[in-house]
Amino acid sequence: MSKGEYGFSPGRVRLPRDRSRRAESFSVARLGRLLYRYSGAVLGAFVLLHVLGQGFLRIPALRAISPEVGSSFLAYLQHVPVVRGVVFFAVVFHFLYGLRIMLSEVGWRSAHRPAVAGTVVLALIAGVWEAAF
Amino acid sequence: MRANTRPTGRYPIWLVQRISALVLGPLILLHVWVDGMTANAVVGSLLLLSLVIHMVAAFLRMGAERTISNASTGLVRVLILVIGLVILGVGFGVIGSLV
Repeated sequence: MSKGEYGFSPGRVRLPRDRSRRAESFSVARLGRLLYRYSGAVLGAFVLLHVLGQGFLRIPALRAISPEVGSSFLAYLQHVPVVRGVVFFAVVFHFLYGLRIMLSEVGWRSAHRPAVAGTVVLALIAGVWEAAF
Repeated sequence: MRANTRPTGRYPIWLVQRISALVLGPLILLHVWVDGMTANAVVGSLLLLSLVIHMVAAFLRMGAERTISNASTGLVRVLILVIGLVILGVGFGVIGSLV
């Protein structure tokens, strides 16, 4: 194969490898974004089940389909401590992290690590409190 | 505005999501902690509307961000619109039964 103008073959250029693996490493910002997205999904699922449960309990047309569905949905969603804890964790985390995003959009600056850690701790306290008491 | 805080998606959707988020906070507090507010038709209707708007706007923005794949964007949009309509339909049915 003929050498090119710069002394190497086109198509065989070897770029220096990025050995840092920064893109694959753990990132607090990525953890925050993931938790924000999953807490939103948990809340969306809860709202859907909560509204359906209330519908089966109170709307005659839905109650006629199955009278037990409403009471079993509601019993599971509103009285099981673990479910209440997860929902409260999701509510508090989604609210606080969303507030932080909105504040950052109007110019407020905060470091990722303490902000995410603080939000997780406060959400955990709310979730455990709700599940335990 | 810095690149990492720039609103993604079309600007009106970003604005709608922010406004619905600001409305949702106090409404959820009222719904959960104030006695008698679970049966209040005005609070319930506003809560339902702002919840569905916030949810749909979030998914539209995720599609615009390309954080979910192009192939699943269309499917997710249809799914989220159906879920939104179910929540609105059943939710307003529940509110109607309480009035």
